[in-house]
Amino acid sequence: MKILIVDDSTFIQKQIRKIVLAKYPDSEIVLAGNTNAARETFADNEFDFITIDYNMPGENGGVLLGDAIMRYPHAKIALLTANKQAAIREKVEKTGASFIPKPDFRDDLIQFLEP
Amino acid sequence: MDLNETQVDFVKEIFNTGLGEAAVELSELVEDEVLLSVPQFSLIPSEELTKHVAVGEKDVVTTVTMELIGDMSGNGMLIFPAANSLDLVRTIVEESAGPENLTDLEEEALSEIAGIILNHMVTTFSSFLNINVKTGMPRCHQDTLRRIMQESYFIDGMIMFIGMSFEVKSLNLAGDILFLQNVDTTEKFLSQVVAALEEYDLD
Repeated sequence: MKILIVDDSTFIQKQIRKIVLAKYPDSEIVLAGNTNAARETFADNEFDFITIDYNMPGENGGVLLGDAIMRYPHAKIALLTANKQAAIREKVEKTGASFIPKPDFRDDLIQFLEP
Repeated sequence: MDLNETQVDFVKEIFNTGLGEAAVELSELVEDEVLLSVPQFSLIPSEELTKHVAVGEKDVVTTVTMELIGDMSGNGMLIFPAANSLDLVRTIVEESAGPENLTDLEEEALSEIAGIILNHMVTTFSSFLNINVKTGMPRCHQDTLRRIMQESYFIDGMIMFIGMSFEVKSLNLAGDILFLQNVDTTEKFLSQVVAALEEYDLD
């Protein structure tokens, strides 16, 4: 199981990593702090799961979400964000990706991580 | 007290979460998406505050400030450029606002916006940090930021600066959001941050 976590917050990266490793102890986790760093991982990796934050320095995660869906059509991809405005949620749901609201995301993330 | 990277990110995430909660209510009120910035967090000399917000030294701004009361003291402040708020007033206060009563209505509208944002943020960080903080009544000022700070909210020495901004393009509405605390309160706040983060038991 290979998972990409895109979030500028090390606090959130560590929270997600802890939940992922509890479910998949042998999983390989790749971290990216912004959308550019995330795209650099696209060349050499095949991911099963991707979580993307929305509000990050530079480009927001909404743009990356579209690219990730194109690059990994068989992966499960989620926008995991504190920005819970209806407009953003609707845009995400139209893509077929999951929308996971912060801050209490543990249960939603565990459900998302089901194969 | 110095914070490590995860602790600083924890503080930013707390305020990011609070602003996210506020944006939900604000977007419903203005019927448009609210664009949000990423939070900044730093300890700065009080006289350098104007360098950290997007207003010029001589720009006249409108500020709405709410005092923090309880386990953490200080002030939450929204800074609005003194631009045209007529669209905002028409949207959330009164459809037929005319120029003769615009100033009062503008203050009312900006106070409403500030109340939504600051109260959501205070509720959120109180919950994260297991503390009890309430907000006082909103107070409006119009002047340069430096004069407002000197005359109304002067804090000497180092201050904790937490800054964010938001924008509603359809209403030409944008603002900076600040939380300002003096050194004593900052130390208490940072101690709460360290204690609250330990409960997450992260590596």
